[in-house]
Amino acid sequence: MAYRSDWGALGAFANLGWRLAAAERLATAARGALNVLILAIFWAFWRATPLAELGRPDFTPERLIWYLAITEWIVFATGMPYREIEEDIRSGALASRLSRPIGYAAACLAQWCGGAAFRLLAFAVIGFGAALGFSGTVPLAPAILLGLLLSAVLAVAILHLCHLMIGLATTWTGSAAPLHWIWQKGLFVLGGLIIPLTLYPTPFRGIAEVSPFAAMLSAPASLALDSSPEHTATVLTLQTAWLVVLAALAWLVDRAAIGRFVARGT
Amino acid sequence: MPAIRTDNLTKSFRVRQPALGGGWRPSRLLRPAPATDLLAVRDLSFSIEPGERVAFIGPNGAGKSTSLKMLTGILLPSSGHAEIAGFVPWRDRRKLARHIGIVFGQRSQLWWQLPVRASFDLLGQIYGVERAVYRDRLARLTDGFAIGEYIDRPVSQLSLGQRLRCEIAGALIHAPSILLLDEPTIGLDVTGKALLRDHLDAMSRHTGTTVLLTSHDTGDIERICERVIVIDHGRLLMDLPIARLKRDFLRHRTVTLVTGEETPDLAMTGVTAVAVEPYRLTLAVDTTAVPIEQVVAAALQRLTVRDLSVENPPLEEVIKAIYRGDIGNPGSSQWRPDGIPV
Repeated sequence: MAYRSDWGALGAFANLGWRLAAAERLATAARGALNVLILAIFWAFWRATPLAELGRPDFTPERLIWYLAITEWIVFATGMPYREIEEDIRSGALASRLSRPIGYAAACLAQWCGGAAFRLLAFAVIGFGAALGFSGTVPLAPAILLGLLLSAVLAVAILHLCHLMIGLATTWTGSAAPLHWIWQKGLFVLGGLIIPLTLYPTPFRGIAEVSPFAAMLSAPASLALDSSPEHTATVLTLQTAWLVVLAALAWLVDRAAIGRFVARGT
Repeated sequence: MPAIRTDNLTKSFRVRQPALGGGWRPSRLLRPAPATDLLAVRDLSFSIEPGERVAFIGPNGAGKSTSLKMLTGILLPSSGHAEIAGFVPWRDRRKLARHIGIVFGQRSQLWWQLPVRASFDLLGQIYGVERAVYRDRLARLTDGFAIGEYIDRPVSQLSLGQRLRCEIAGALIHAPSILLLDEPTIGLDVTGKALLRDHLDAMSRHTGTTVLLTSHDTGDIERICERVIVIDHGRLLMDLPIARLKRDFLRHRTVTLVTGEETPDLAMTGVTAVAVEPYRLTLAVDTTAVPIEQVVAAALQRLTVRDLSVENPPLEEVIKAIYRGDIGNPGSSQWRPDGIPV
């Protein structure tokens, strides 16, 4: 009974997340415009770059702009939800959230998933539309689209777990912003936000590829460079492994943070 | 089984003085400022039966909110025990949540951006209330708290009074057997307070919900509660019915006489004339110096009394006296050994 009711509650939070994201029309439009601007700049940049000198036939401006469209899609769909937890902890509102019959972290994740589902849809239309407009092609085999969607969902789920841990860190640090700043720079550099990790020199490529950041951005975006079923399977396996590891870590952080909050009252 | 029971509930906080000023020294990193233990609640024991409506009062910093947080399971006690609706709150917080409703006057449980109805729908789903039951209950709460006029408005567009009525209705969506209210009328004007108190009083009487209420407003306490628990410095000061609090702690009562005499006078020890008007005399009686019955008897004997009234001072005055320490703690000379104030 309680089990069924918990799933119902999580569904309600997911629905809330979707509704709130859908209501942010202006913010979505502004982020969409920024997304298009980023893609426009890098489309011009990649076209002006003598990529042929790399000797890598898969690195064409068309493929690289789609790589960027996918990483930006995931970044824009995720947003910065850690700030909600930071605000709850700093304002003391966490106390009233904890007095509900549903776990705080589970409720946050469900709500974020709902919001991300809406934004994945919205930014797919905006970002992929722009990438198609600029490049005039879709370098993804139709068979790979389902794999890409699954990979994007896994990436957003992993990112949400990171945001959860960063937000909960507020119970120790008083502010999550510095931690998020460091993490975000790590994500952009080691996650291969703009440039595929295969272009990184050694040993940085190796470091980036074994980091969890690769599973968040580079892995799904690499499907624009290599659409083979083998590569797709590797990507999904890597992401699932990191999802399990980070979920376990997030569970421990949640227990410790809520335990600390409940012991101290702040 | 009591609805709420606490046994020697104690909470202390470790407080570290932040090192401000004096410049930065590496030793500060190695040797943090010494910590001191601040005792917020000490050995708090009380019991509340199902259906009772109890005010939990004390001056600022007395430990009311800390106690309430421990009772809801969102704060771990340092020692002692508590049970609420049969659950140990800090051990079974989520199970307990299905049996209690909580209203923090200064914090919203509703969703700011959503219409009230959508917030209620969400609460209904969070608490797993069956759809048909929910619809029926929502209709009753909407009617009972008179919120139908603005239930479809976003919470952010409501006045404070409207929002607080919605907060309480929202806290009752899952029909909790116990309602915990932390300053539910804070910031409301006189009309808003009166409306909220009336609705709350009617609801709790009708449903038999146990109410534990903290408030600085004696109007809330008088209108809604039958019993008062007073704490100060984290310690239980008094626990008694409000009627007895008012009756037993009245050092002064006001006696108003309408007389046949144009300039009435009643000189007695312990009696002070507060106002003398034609055919009317208002007296302040110190009941520790002279029993009220003696004053009434003297008035009837010496004056032609056409009308007579004896009034208690407002509860606020009594509570202020308790906080000031004018009225003693249990165990002091002003209390009998059985805990009843003398």
